[in-house]
Formats: sequence, C-alpha cells, structure tokens
Amino acid sequence: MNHAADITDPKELRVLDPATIDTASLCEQCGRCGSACPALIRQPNPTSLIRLIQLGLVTEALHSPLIWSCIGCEQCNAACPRKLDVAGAVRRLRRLSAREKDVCFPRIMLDFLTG
Amino acid sequence: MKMLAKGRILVVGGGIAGLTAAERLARAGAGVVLVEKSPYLGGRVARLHRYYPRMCPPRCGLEVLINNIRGFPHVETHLLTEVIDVKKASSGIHTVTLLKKPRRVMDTCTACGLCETACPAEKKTSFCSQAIKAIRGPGDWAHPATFWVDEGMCRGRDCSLCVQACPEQAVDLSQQPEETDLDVQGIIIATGTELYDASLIKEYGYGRLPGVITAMELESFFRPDGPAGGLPVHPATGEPLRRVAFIQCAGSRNANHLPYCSGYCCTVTLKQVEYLHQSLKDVQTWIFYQDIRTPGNREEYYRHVREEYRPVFIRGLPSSIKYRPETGELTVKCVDTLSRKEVRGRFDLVVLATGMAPPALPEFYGIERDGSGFFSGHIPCEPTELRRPGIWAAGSVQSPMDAEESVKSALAAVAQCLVKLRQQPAAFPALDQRKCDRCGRCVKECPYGACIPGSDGYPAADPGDCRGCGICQGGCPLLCINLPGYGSKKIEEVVDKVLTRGGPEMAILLFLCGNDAYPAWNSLIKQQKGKGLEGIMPMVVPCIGAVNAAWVSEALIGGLDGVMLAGCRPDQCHHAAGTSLAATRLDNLKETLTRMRLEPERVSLTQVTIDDSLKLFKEIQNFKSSLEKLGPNPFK
Repeated sequence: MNHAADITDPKELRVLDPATIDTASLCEQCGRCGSACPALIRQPNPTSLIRLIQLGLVTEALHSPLIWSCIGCEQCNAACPRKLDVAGAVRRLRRLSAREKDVCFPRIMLDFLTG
Repeated sequence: MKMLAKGRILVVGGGIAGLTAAERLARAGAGVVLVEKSPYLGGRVARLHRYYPRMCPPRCGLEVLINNIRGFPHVETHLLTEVIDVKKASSGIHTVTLLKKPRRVMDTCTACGLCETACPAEKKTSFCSQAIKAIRGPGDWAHPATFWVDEGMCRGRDCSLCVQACPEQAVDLSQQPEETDLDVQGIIIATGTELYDASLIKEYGYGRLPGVITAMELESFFRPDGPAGGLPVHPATGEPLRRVAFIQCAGSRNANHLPYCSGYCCTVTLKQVEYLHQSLKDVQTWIFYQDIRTPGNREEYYRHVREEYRPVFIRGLPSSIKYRPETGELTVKCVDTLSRKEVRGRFDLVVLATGMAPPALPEFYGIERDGSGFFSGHIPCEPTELRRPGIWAAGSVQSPMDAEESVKSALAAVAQCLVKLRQQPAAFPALDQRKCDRCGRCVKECPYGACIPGSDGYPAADPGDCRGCGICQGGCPLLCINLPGYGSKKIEEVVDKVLTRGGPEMAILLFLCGNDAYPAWNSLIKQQKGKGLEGIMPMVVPCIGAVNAAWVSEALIGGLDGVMLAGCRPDQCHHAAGTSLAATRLDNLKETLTRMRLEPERVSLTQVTIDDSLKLFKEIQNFKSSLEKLGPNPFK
C-alpha cells in the first residue's frame, strides 16, 4: 500500500468472529507460523496476516490471497509457541470474505490453478 | 558416623553461588561444609570462556574464592557427594544424609595423565567435543587437580590398566560409596540447574544435524580444551567459521517447552558475537530474535556489540532448519516480521540460545517451588528463604540467572544465614506445658516447619526459625500457646470491656491481619471519620491464622453480637496458609455455634488486600445489616 492505512478497531469482526480477534490479540509476532507455512502463495504470510487483524486492517486481510492458498495443513499451529489456532483464523476469514462485495477468488490463484 | 556441628552451615553445590556463599560464611567465622556432586569445583562458570560485561575470564574470580576457601581450616569440602535426605532433628538443627561416591583416585595424584593414556574405555559425547576416557582429569581449569574414574564408563578391576600405569599408585578401584549423617544449623541450596535440553526442540534438529550447537558448546570452542583446541573453526570440517546464525528464545517463551524467559541468553549471544568477530576477521553473524532483552546496564553492552561488530538482527524466529549434506550448509528460513518478507540464509553453524530448565532437585522437607518450578523463595520479603527457616536458596536454583545475579543471590543467602546464627530473642510464642497434651496440631500447621516435637514430646521452636505468625496459637485446641501481645488474655480483656459497658447497642469484634487488613482499616477510619463504624472493636493479629476459634465462641458467649475476621487474599498471605486455615476453623466452629443455639451467621471471614478499604467498609456494612436482622445476641 502506498498511503498510510488507518489503524482501526475491527468492530464488525469483533461481533462476527471473536475467535480470530482473540487469536490475533494473543499473538506476539514471533514469526514462526510465517516460516512454517508451506502454502505456495503466501501473500501475506500467516504472521503478517495476523498482524493485519491486530492493526484492524480487516478489509486488507479479507482481500489477501493467502486465505485462498491455505491448504489447511496446520503447520502454523504446530509452530506456534503460544498454541494459537492460526489455521482456524485463516479458515474463518475465508468464510467471512464471502460477505465482502468486491472480494472474489484472487486472479493470482486463478492463474496458478489454470496454468 | 555422626559428627555434631553447632554453628555449622551446609552449602550444597560448588558452583559460583555455592563457592561465594561458602567463602563469605567462612570469612564470617561460621563452620562450612561444602558439598559438590561433580568431581570438580567451579560448576558451569568454570566452563565459560568469558564473563560479560567486562569480558574477564571466569577463572580469575573462581581462583580467588577457592584459594580463600582452602585457607580456612573450618571449611570441609566433599566432592562427588550428594545430599540424599534432610530431616529436622531438633529445633534449629537439621540432620542431613550425604552420599559420597568414590573418586577411585587418591590425593597423591599428580595429574600426570599416564592413566588417561592407558585407559581403553573411550567415548565421544557430541560431534563438537573431544573424546573422553573413563579415567580423566580436569579440563582447562579445575580444582582439585586430581583425576577421577567415571563409574559409568570404567571397565572395572579386571582391566586395571590405569592402576598399573600410575607411577604414584594413586588409583584405587576398590573404593566404595559411603553414607554420612551430619548435623547442621543451616543449609544453603546452591545446586544450580541444567540448561534446557536442545534436542527436545525437534524442529531445530539439535543432535541430528551437524552444525547445530548450543550456546554452551560454542563457549567451549574458544577454550584450550575445546573441540579444536581453542580455534573457532567448524568442528566437522576444520574450516574457519564464515557465516554463523544465532537463534534466540530456542525453547524459551514457548508453551511447548519453557514458558518463561531465562533473561540471560540475549546477552550471552551478544558476548559470543563479540568473541567471533574478535577472533575471525571474515565472519558474518545473524541474530534471529523475537525481542532482545538486555535490561539495565546490559543495554550499553548491546549498543557496543551492535555498533562495533554490526551483526544483522532479524526480528522473526525460524520454525525449522534444513541441512544439505553436499555442501554441509544449514538453511534457516524465517519471516522477517518487520518487513513482512520471507528471508532465507545459509550458514556453517547455527547456535541455539537455550534457557535454563527448572532444577531437578528431589522434593524433600516441603520446600516450595514457584509456578515455573524454581525455588524462588518468598518474593519479595524473604527472597532466599524457602518457607523453611534454616534453608535458603542461592544461584540459578532460584530462577534463571547469570553469574552476576548468582553471586548477588549467594550474598543475600549468606546475610540471611548470618542473621539466623546471630539471632536475638524476639516475640516468640510461649507454651504452657501444664495445659499442653502434646496433640501435635501446632507442629502440623506451622507453615515454616519451625515448630517440631522436642525429645520430651512437647512442641518447641528455635527463635531463629519462628516468624511470629501465631498460627500455632490459632490452632491450639487447649489454648496453651500464647504469642506475646496477641494472646488469650488480651481477648478476655476486650470481652470484659463490652460486658461491663452493657447497653443495647451493637458490638462487633473485628480481627484484622496486621499485614493487609489493618492498614486497610486504618485508611478506612481516615476516610469515614468513624461514620458507619460504630460498635466495631478492631483487634490486630499478626496473621488471621492466629485467631483461635475458642476466642470467637468466647466472645459470642460473652455477649458480643458478631465476630468478623479480615485476612489477606490466600495467594497474598504472608504466611501462606493463614487465611485458608482461618476459613477451615470457622467452618468447624459454625457447627458448635449451632449447637449453642447461636446463629452461625454471627461469624464472618473476609479477604482484603492493603488498598481494599472500601471493600472492607462494604463487608462491614453487610455484616452489620445481617446482624440487625438476627437481632441482639441472646447471651447479652
């Protein structure tokens, strides 16, 4: 992003998905989930995705290709020193993105899958 | 064999903390028995290359301590010896059972090393250490300069090659272990702790991947007895190190390993970065970290290393390490959480900065561990005392510590220990032997283990052991223990006062714990200026556990309308068990009250902290209104 994003309270997410808010607020950003993730398209990596939630940048998180490229292997959960459910957060964000008007399956994933 | 030692202190552990404690106690004139499990004194500090922040060799400090200790005739040192049992023999005296394992080499040894050359039993413990023999000597530095036989590796008397090789006939393979009982006045536990086993952190492949080592192993690289005789080269290839990665928090601050921060590993890494850059011109260093924790004056050292040697700091922890056998390189991949980029690096050597695991000390004699499994003592009031007067902890058995903190905690333990040896008589519970039936309840309930049955069966405590909480007085069924200033006599006076005053107004006796509830009450009086507190008679006790249930029933029979007890929160109770004991005693009393046709609601226990004056006020008001509903005491 070129311009500074507003840091906000993810009010809507607090109602719709308190578990993800919980996961994000307990995360210490050690980076281990990010390096454990084997998904081919990590934009952003799981650590940074959680960071977006911490900053309240929910829209950016819902638009990220990672939530579609996650293969649900839960390597991130195994790497987490706080035993947080990172994979669960990604899964729930994927579901929530259906509510967003302009969110669709990302082009980059489509290109990758269709070759 | 039984040796009587009066004014003698047992120091368990011959590391930096134990040696400091033993030396200072000896200088103060106390008899000292120093016990060390391993064959040499010096502990982990003797295996270090340098201390931070002055970067002096640890030998210097240890040498001074050991030389001083050797000069004192009243210090006994037992090596290869462990404490296997501790009992409280009589008030103020502990009986300790020591197990002395055989060294199998006598003091006539000149450390010539011929036996080690002859010994056929050889073993290599890790890829970055030299092979060891069953009979071996001290490393680069150790005291005493005498060899020893490793029982686990020795092939026994059938082999005896070392016996034949020794020109001094100092090897004796027939030595057997022996047990000794010892009476001591105090024990300083300075057994230290082990570093966390890095092989448990499976993802980093320690022990499996060549080139992954711990910080302690890197330390040995720089020592003459290290894998390459003090040269910082790769242990497998012999090439000088070029690219070295340090992984911080390896197994620390992690729910799957150690949940806590050991506090010293960051500074250790900085120190080792300094070693590497000082001894190798072309080395590059990377530090993978989550937070760099260098509090106090260590920040200065952090600045120094950062500016002088310019290591690359990467804020992100790797989740695995990969090894390429073709090139012998280790690949570390991680997310740099500052740039949100994934980064990858190839290294010759990866150093895991491991923390300290909780001490593996046997549970004996009810000494307390904290939530992390360390013997931290009663923080902050009695930081070295383990709620067992006469037993103190020093060094890393208390919490993860570096050498500096270990020395500080050893000095604190010595100070506590000397206080006990020079104890002046203080307020002390008096026992009326004519009334006592030796039921042993005080012995059972004393939270410090200070009260023990004497040879005549009557309970007794050493004035130096007693902390004056009065819990013994509170529990005594026959009211034969009296803490000066707080005893049964005083309560009789208060009850008499109410009786002589008579009158219909409400009278409530309020017991206040001296630590928390009394200060809360004090500020309450100031706030309320007596309003709403009419008819309350406050009475201070050192701990709410010092209130005897008989006092409560006596007060109610004497015509008081209600009795209220205000103690600390159980997790804050200065004497550990006071509030919970008071609760149990009042529960038992309620039955008695019902039988006497008195409402059990006339007694109440509340928990307040020092700043809870408003809560105390509310509780008092609630209690008052419930008493109003009950009406005046029928015994009035």
